[in-house]
Amino acid sequence: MNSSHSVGVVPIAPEWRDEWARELAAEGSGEAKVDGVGYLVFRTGSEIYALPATCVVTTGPLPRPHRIPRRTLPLLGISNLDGTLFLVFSVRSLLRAAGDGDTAENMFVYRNEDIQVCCAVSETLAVVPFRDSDWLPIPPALAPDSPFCARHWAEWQGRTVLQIDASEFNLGIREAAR
Amino acid sequence: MDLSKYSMTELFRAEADAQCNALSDGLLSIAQIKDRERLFRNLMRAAHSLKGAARIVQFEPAVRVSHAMEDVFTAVQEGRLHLAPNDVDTLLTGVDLLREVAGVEESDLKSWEKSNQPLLQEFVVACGRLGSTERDAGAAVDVPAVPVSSPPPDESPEPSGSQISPGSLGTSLRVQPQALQRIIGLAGESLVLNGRIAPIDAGLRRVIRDQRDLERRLGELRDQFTPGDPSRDSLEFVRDAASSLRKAVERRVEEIELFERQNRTLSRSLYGAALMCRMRPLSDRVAHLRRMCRDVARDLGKEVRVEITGERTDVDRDLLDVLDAPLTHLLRNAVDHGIETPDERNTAGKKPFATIHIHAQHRAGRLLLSVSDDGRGVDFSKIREQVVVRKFVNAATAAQLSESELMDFLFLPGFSLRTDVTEISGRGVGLDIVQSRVRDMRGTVRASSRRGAGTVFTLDLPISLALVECLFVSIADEAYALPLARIQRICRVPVEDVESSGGLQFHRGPEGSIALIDAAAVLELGSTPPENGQYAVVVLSDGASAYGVVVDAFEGEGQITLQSLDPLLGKVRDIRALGVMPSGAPTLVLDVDDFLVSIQRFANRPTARSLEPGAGSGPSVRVKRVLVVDDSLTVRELERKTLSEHGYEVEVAVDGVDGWNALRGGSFDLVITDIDMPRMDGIQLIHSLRGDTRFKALPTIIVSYKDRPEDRKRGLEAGADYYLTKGSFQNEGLLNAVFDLIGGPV
Repeated sequence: MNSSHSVGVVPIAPEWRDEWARELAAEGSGEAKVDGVGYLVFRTGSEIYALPATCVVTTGPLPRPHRIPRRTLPLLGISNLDGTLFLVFSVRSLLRAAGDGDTAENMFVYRNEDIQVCCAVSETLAVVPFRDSDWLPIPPALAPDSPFCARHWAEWQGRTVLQIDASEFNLGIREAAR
Repeated sequence: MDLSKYSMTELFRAEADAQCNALSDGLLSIAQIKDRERLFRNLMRAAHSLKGAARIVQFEPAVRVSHAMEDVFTAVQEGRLHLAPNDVDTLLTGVDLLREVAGVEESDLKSWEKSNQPLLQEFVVACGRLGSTERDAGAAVDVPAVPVSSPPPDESPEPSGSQISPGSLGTSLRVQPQALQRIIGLAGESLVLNGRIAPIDAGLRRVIRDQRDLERRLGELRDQFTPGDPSRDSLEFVRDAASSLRKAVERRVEEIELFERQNRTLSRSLYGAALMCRMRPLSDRVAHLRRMCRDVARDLGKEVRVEITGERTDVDRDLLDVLDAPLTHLLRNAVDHGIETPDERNTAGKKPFATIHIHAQHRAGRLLLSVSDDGRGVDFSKIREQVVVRKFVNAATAAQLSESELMDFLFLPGFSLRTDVTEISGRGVGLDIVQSRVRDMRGTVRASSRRGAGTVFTLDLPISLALVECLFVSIADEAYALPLARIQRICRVPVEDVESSGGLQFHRGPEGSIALIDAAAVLELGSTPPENGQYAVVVLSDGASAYGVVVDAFEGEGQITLQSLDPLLGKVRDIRALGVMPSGAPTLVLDVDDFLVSIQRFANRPTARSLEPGAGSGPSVRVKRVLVVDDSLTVRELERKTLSEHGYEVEVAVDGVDGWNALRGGSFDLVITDIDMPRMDGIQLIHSLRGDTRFKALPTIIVSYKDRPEDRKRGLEAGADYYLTKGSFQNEGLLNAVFDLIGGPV
């Protein structure tokens, strides 16, 4: 379990760190460049997902949410994170993900467009760079079983990571909030 | 205050604001101030200071204007000039110019100066001519022709804002509401963090207890050896060492406890101070109203004196902003409608100048604001006449209406006793707006009048739109807050004192027998078992009925800052806002009006009563269901009764939001709605219906007192199928429309 509320302490994948180091050490290279876009990789249930790290404000343990009367999953309620109240959504329920029970002891704060909410997940794993070429389309035969906002997958440490499309994720949150 | 954070121009603007207030207040009080020498000295100083500040930031137009004013005040001080009454107007024009130029961006200053050159020149020339036509003492300011002003202020203080100070700068310091909210949130968080020290302290106290236990055991072990035995000496040494360590820990714990107490006091003060940042004195918003009244009265040839008491009453800044429009309307109405001309007042045996009195005070956690005048009062016979002419009621009913009921018609849109329309008023829109704004602030407005003696409008408002004194309770093991102002009382009811009847539970209290309703069940969160053989009960009332709301436990009282629900959620039934408990836990603030409606629905549900076998069985005949949405209990009940008597099943909702919630929770064949309602009006409700695929085709009727063609057009354009006026109750209009849209009741 992560104990901090800073995205900076999510373990950085060693290959990305090494790549940065090589870039910075390269003599006369001018401005450093890193190949790939950072994604927050997290687990919910038994599935692993990746969301663009630019949409993630902070991560940490999930304070117990206060339920909102007559509102049901995926909306878990409201939590106080450092003096600010956030709506809390169960990502597993939001994505209709598979897996054993949703312990959802951790969270990340998601910010995109006018949405800023707390997303409850089982575990935040790492910030990992993925190149565009890393992402492969989910085969049509498997697509019906995939979450509505996942179209691509990649391999990471021998596991399958599903890429979440942020704009579709937004739509899911808006629908779930009502 | 650290002024280094502000640019010179920002400081100049702050000073200009303060000095312009000082100039304006001083000029308006010339007629009442006895110590004129001191008044003009203060006016001269204000103009002089402003000139100096303007010179520093090179706002040349402001230098010219303030210089011209300074010359005038100096001449008066030296006895070279006696101001004529109308000269005050000229000088007030200068104040307006100063305010305007202070607000101009530096980059636009040159072009502003160029385009306003004639005005500036005219003002400077006019200042040079002041008093030149009426230099005899008799026409000087001792007897103003237009004695509209504030009451004689206290002679001792200088005009407010005559010197720039941290306080005066504060009046112009703009803070983003989100930033203020963040500060309040962080101050609350510091309270929460401090609360985490106590468990650490308790843990250390446990360690100390264990250490004492260790010492005792070491002592027992030592005593097993005879004196002189080296083992006994060794054990004695170890026991002493353990004792020293324990005492060292005890000292540290005492230090921690002292730190916790000091930090708790500091955190509470910080939180309190952060909350107080939202409050401003009422004078911030009423001072300019004197000037407005003066100008309006002068245009109408009337003489008015505005008295303000309770100016220092603290009010939430958000509320102050919203109060401006209703107060302006009330004052304009008073000057135009209520106040007589000097001749009329003389004939009536009154002083030629009228008095409008604005009074503010805090009472029982509310802000009471009254605007009274000593004018002609309301002619009730005229209201009766208009009510009948406008076909609101028939002549027989009108004759029976009380004065209080007649006054209510003045708040209807378009209702005016004036036959002519002036620039000031007469279109009957002012009081409509006043009532609507006050309702938006969750307040009420009452009016009373005595013929020949004047009229009083009393606004009853919350002190803050954001800060609320609440009772904290737990419901289904979670924190909820109820505004104290809406609670009649709280009590604990022993289980054996609860009576059952018709499936509901009752308790006999001072207000008679009240139904006990489980809050958790109403909110669909489960049920509340009694604790230690007692129910914790909060008594709420909707005016007509009282209900005992059963909660898990009372958690104390306190002030919390209301935070809006995330717009993503839309309207959440029964919930008004969010807040943070002193413990840091989030809390939901109940919307008591909404909650009372939910309670009524819950109490009327068959499932809320005992489920008797066979109940509800039988042949199924579908009766058409109509939803009546109106904030007037009388109209609501009249419509419900009329339709029920003709066989329709009717549900009622108290406003647009309640109606919208009812529609989402039930199936209806028709909606009948009023237009003017708090929270969501009828037009917004119909817009919501037409924008939702589920209700797009649901027939809708508007029934409103508003009978102007533009109102009718607006309603029909929004998507209503019929637009009826409330007079239609007296004929078959409503029933015909209902039958036309949905046919008979079955």
